[in-house]
Amino acid sequence: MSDDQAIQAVRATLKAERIQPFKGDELEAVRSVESCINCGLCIGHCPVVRGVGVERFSGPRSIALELSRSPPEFWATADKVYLCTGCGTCREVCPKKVNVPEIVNLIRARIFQQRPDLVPKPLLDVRDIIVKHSLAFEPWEDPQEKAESRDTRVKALGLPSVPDRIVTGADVLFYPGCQAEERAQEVKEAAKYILSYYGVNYTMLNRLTCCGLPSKLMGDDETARSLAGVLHDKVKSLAVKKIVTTCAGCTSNLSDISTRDGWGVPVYHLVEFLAEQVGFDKVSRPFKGRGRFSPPVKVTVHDPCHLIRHTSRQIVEHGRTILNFIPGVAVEESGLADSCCGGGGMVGYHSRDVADAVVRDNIAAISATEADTLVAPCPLCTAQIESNLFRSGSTTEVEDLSVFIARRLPQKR
Amino acid sequence: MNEYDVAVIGGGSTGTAVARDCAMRGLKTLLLERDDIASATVGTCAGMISSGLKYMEEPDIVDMCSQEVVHFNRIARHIIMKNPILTPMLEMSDLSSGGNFAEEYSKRSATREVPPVLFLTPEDALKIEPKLNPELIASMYFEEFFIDPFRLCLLQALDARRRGADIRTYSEVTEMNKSAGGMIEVHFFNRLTAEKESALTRIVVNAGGPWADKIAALLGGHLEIRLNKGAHVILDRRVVNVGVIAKAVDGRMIYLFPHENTVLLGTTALDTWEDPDTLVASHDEIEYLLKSIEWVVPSIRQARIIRTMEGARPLVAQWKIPEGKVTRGYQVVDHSSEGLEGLLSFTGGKLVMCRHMAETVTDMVCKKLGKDVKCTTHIEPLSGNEGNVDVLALAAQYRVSQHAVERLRARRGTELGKVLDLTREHPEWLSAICTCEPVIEAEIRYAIREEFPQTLNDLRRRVRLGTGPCQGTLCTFKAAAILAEELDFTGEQFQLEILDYLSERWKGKRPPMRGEQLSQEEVVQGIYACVGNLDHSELRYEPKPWEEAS
Amino acid sequence: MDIKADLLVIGGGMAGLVAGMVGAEAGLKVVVLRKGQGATAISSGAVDIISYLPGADTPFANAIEGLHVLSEVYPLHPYSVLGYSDEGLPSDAERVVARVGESANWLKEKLSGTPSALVGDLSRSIQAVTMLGSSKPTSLVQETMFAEGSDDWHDGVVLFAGFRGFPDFNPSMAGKAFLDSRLQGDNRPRRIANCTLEALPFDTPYNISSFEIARYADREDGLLRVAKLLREHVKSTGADFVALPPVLGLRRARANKAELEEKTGAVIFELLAFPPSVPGLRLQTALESTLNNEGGRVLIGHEAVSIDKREEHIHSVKVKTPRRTLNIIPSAVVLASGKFIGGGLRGDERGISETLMGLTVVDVDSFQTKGMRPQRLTNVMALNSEGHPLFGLGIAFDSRFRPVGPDGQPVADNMFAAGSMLSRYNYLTEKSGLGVALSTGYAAGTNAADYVKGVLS
Repeated sequence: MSDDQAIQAVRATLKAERIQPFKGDELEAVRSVESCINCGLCIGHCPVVRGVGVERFSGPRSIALELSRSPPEFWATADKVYLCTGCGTCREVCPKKVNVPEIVNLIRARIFQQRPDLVPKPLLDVRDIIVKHSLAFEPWEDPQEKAESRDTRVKALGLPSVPDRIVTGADVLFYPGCQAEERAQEVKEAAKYILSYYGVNYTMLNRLTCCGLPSKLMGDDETARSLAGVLHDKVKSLAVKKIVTTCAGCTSNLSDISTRDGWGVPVYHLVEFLAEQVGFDKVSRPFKGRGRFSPPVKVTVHDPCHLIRHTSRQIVEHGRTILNFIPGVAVEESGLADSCCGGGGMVGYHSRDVADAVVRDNIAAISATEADTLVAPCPLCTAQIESNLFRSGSTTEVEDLSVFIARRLPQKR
Repeated sequence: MNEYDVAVIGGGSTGTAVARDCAMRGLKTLLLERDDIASATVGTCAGMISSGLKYMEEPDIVDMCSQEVVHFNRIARHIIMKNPILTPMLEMSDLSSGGNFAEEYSKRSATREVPPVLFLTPEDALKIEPKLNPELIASMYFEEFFIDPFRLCLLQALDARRRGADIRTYSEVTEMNKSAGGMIEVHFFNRLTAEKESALTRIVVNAGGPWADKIAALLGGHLEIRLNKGAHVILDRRVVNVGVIAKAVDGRMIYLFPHENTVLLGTTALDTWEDPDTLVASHDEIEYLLKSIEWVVPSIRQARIIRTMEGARPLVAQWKIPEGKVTRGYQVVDHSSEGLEGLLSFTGGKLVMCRHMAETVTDMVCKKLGKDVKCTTHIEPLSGNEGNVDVLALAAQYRVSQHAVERLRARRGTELGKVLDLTREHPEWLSAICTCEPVIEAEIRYAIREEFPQTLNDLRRRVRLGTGPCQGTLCTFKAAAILAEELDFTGEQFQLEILDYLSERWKGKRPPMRGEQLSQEEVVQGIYACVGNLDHSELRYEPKPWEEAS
Repeated sequence: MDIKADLLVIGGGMAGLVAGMVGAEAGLKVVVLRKGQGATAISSGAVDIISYLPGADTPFANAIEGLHVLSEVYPLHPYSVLGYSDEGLPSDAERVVARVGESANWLKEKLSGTPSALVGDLSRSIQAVTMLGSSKPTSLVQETMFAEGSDDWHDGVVLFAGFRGFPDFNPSMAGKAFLDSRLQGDNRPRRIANCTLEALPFDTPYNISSFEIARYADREDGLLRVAKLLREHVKSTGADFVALPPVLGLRRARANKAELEEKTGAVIFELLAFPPSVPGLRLQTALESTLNNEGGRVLIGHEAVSIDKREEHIHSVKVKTPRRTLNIIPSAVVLASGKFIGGGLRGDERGISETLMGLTVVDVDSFQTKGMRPQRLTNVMALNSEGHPLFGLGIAFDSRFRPVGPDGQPVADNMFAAGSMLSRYNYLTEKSGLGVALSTGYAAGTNAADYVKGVLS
């Protein structure tokens, strides 16, 4: 064999044996899996297992103990590994803090690279959109129509209109995320209003690009890293000191990549920002003694997994504190506020029945509160719960927490 | 008393290969194994079917090994795995020892359909295996084949049985004597029925491995072996992607080989006169291996050690030289040279040679018996090797997880169809019993019915039960119930089976006890002692040899 | 954002939650850090007090006898420490029994009304039956695990009922083992039987987990089906008792048992569980919700990473969540972070250490274990009544349950410890795990509350 032929043979062997080493920043998650002691606690808590049974989704235990042991065999996990919603409930109850959600992403990344034929087709469709537009949703073609749609919704909600703010020298970057940008525009408007209301010197991006979480969740590691790089450049050129977002997924993902890629810029969910940076005193002041909505409203809360389990449960505690400032608002807990809505992990794109099975108990608990409104600080959870609540015949409305707060901020004199 | 042409003593790689060859050539064959198939030396090796790496001083042996690899790939492709291997070098002096090897290897690489030895730059080596020490200056690259030793031995035994041989496990040979007409009487103790049995045979092939000398002595034959013990440390999951070979603490070569869903770190080599049944890995051996590999894979101590294993090699008795200089070839001793007709004994040998060893000895047996039949063991495939398996299609068809089917394929090849068929009538048997592999109940029942395991430990060799990171924490009691049902155990036997398997797993778990295994052991003790209260049972538990030796 | 608390408990298992509840009862602002769930959640759901002396073959007649013997023979045992006077040793057995009994009654009262309500007491040993058919003496079991008349089975028929597709429990082998073990003793039922119930929560007869069956039983239609199937088998076998794997439900377990008993006419009881344990989770959930109801806060997913100690006083604790950190400033701390499963202790070939602060780790005889590799702390036998010294390891502590340093002095005036991270006992051989966790958690919580109030003697 000639030298060239030999090198070709080596490459062929590495490919045939499916040898694809883990990257340095993946090693921590890989190591965490080695601690699994097969106690099975995760099986009892996993919302997907609860929804469809261990037979359909073998669960976090099998991901840790069986499916992730041999990378050359990852291709044979495609019937299970795409059903994980990435909620992190398993990791939260695990005595050893095995990082199952991250391992799921790593396995999906290898399937994506080695056997794209086994990736669920709807995910590849989303990939096409992302690669084309750097957004996770097909953007509005006509900016005029987009603005009209936004205005209509904002008007119906009684939200004041705040012009887009793109300035230099701002401390804070407001990052609405793809969903608020292209689908739930009222969330973006509400956040802008809240930030302006409390005098925050913020800017927005000229053109929003995706933070990369959907790419990461489908295993498209290359695109995810590339999007992270694009965003890093934008953040650098804006020279902001903080990032604020209204999307739970963006909160955890941006926190992640900011640390991993050394941005030196902390990321806050809007609720977090209000609590920690603006301060409860300042936040509560406008509500004291005044109420904009006189009929009392009963509200129940949903806690997004990307906040409570991928960032910190303190954030939703702050959310409740803020809700309690608002006169006329009574919060009733459903008892399952922290139960996954099923909207995560891109599961709904290809296995809608599984995603809806996950949220079933949640919907029942929400309906039982007979609340007027359900609030959630995440547009993805909001969309998933809204469609399921509606189909169950409940009359409870669903609103993003940012919108709920913004609508009730008293007029400034 | 049954009469045989040949009685093979020992059910390891050599014994089962001999039984197969004899049976294939039409000889009436009996195999007597004291314990279970592959329960001794071959059960503690790394499973490499070596191309001759260590034997470059003996080019004939390298030729033989290389050819045997080709044969194995033909007859047992489905249980063979390929590992690329790197030899990271940190110093110039490491380079010089490679030269001759590279040449000898590359001469024959084309026959095995692998590339010749390549020399890689540090960058290329690190790309293939990022966990290597970044200060390496060069690395060789070559490819070796590995086989599941338990499946190989079992398939050879099953093939022999299919062709008319009697395969008897749990049968310990206690006496042998010459009988009328030049026959040999072989007396053995059936450990399952606690009864003595006997057989008449014309030839005895002594493949007793570490006990070969004692077995020969039963007939008055003289055989000397140089017994040498070696340890392996088993790490969970594929912490490295390719094999790594490095220079050890004392200048020997040691290795880190991925093996299915684990990684094997081995091996040590120490002369021993201990009873092989009592051997357990020592702290010294474990630290020797870890320190040796740590130079080239610095993060090795972060990996989870799940157990150790210790075995005894029956080396050819060459003395007053370091064990590394002892030949790794084999010897067949025809005891007719000392006036004992009909006894043939093996010393030495390696896993890769077992078929060749069998061919040599079976040729001799045939000659003695006046039979002129040629060996075809290198042509006829072992069961399961008949073709490709469409894992995804089968998973969909039988409604079982794809990964479970893939693991079944890795163990059984085309034979997995028979396992899955059982689930048509018994869909409950699609349940996973071992969560680490996984192993479904259907495979366990199939193995019990077709592959004659008598204990959970035997079952472990058939289906890899309890070989994962949890080392049988949960599957032990579930599989014990299945075994108890199939073999009609009493309630006491059922619980004793659990104790026996826990003690067998503990044998390997105890020496390296550290890190996550401390938590794992707390769970195990929590289940079987704290809840199950089996530590206070009145069961008649028999202490094992290594437990008594301490 | 930092949090101020009167009492910070590190560890959310039995010991930690009990300490937290005691603190909340005393009117303190209590915060419990629960990094993950631990040994309590995977336990069988029974609360063992003390069943065996280490190395002994026969169990104690009851927990009271056991506590008496311990305080005499093992005066350093955590139970024995409860019997110290203000001057310390010797241990007063009556005082031990009184204090352990007090905490047991207190717990029973707290959990009454929850799905994991407990029955039993220290004066009587319950011979609980396990999933393997073996017997284990214990003191407190969940109501659903208790069989009235199981002392001698009334010469009756015991039916072991499994579920199709649930391989964790094999009723025929469990039944056989159960009967074999009775041959020696005299509390033998007349006959045993076994059956398999076809109750399929997701319509597939395989890979069914214990939690799925439990949730199925919590559904009205699920329980109806189980009752119907069970009644047929009870009738055809003439069973007086039915032994079920512990899957009777998560929320409605006790009601489910009552309903099944009503519909079948037999005494229904759950066997002791292995992981994945439904009763263990019931217990964990009940403890957490009880603490929440009393005004305590359980911070889920929060892990203590370092402690700021200044001059023998714990000043603050740094805590992390998946992507954030915060500080907690407590007046007093109770450490209840468990043994190896919980992560309070860890070890490698260089020795065993306490995870958070590097507290002194001693063995069951109170000797330091510096540098001893774990293998040397094990027995060559995997399973026997001697057990492994490794699991008798823990932190050194004084008579107030404060961790002490090598000099025997408390590491901090406001830090206490409880549960399996303590040394000087081996819960696996003694069968004393949750009992020690309960009574030391109760004592440590009481002491911590007294400290905060300035009345600790």
